[in-house]
Amino acid sequence: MGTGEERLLKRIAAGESPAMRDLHETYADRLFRYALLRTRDRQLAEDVVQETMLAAWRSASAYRGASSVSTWLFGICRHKVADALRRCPQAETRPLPEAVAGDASAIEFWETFDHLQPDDRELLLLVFHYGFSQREIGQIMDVPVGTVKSRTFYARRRLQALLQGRS
Amino acid sequence: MEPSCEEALELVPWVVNATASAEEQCGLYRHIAGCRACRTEFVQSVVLQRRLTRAVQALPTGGVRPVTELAGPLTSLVEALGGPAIVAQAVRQAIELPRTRPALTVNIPLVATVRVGT
Repeated sequence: MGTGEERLLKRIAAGESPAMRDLHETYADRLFRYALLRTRDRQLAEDVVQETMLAAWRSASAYRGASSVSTWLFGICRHKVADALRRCPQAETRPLPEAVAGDASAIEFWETFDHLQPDDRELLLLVFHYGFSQREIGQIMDVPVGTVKSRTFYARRRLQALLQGRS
Repeated sequence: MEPSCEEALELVPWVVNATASAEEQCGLYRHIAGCRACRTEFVQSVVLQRRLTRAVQALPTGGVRPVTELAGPLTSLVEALGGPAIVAQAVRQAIELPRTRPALTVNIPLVATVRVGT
């Protein structure tokens, strides 16, 4: 195991609680915002993060370094979001909650963003906010790199057109 | 080699998020130096990234507690609710460290009960 994060997972696999807290500190908020944007529900998003961390804790020893730790965690989180949305299918279609109250620019952005399909929203988040590579997004979303490239191209175009339509 | 407009536009998001290779970045920069339309797309994508990031940062952060801190409150809750000792034990075991967890895992809906004191 090479990177600091991979060593962290090794420590978690060895049963070190402080290592789990470090992982939580690094990723909980990132995962929460991703889950919140997918589920549109604060409680569901918190559940998703908790389930993701629990799964990471329990399966750290199975991590083989085939993907980065962040890719691995987001992949788990994505599955947990899918489980949550199966339990609560109407969640995904809700507008974002009170979450962005007070920031007019953010509210306007999310209103526009909401016109995209959920898959496009997720993809653009992973690319432009979380900064994942084509290969990493392919691993997280379980699709070929070529699909990631072409879908990103069209999703970006669609968002750009929506933003320009508003301005 | 300099990419075509189509190739350049496909590269834009990956150069903007800094995951394109050095060769791809150089190719795109060479291309947009001489192509106004693609340069506009590039600039728009940089703006889009900033807006998206700013909007995400306006979202709240979660109040999720580390799983390592859940065993105490959860087992106390089960006990306070008058749950049988075996359930409290199952809770404790379900979130024990992987190394010390017994081979038989108990699958209980932990997450529904974790908001103790939050």
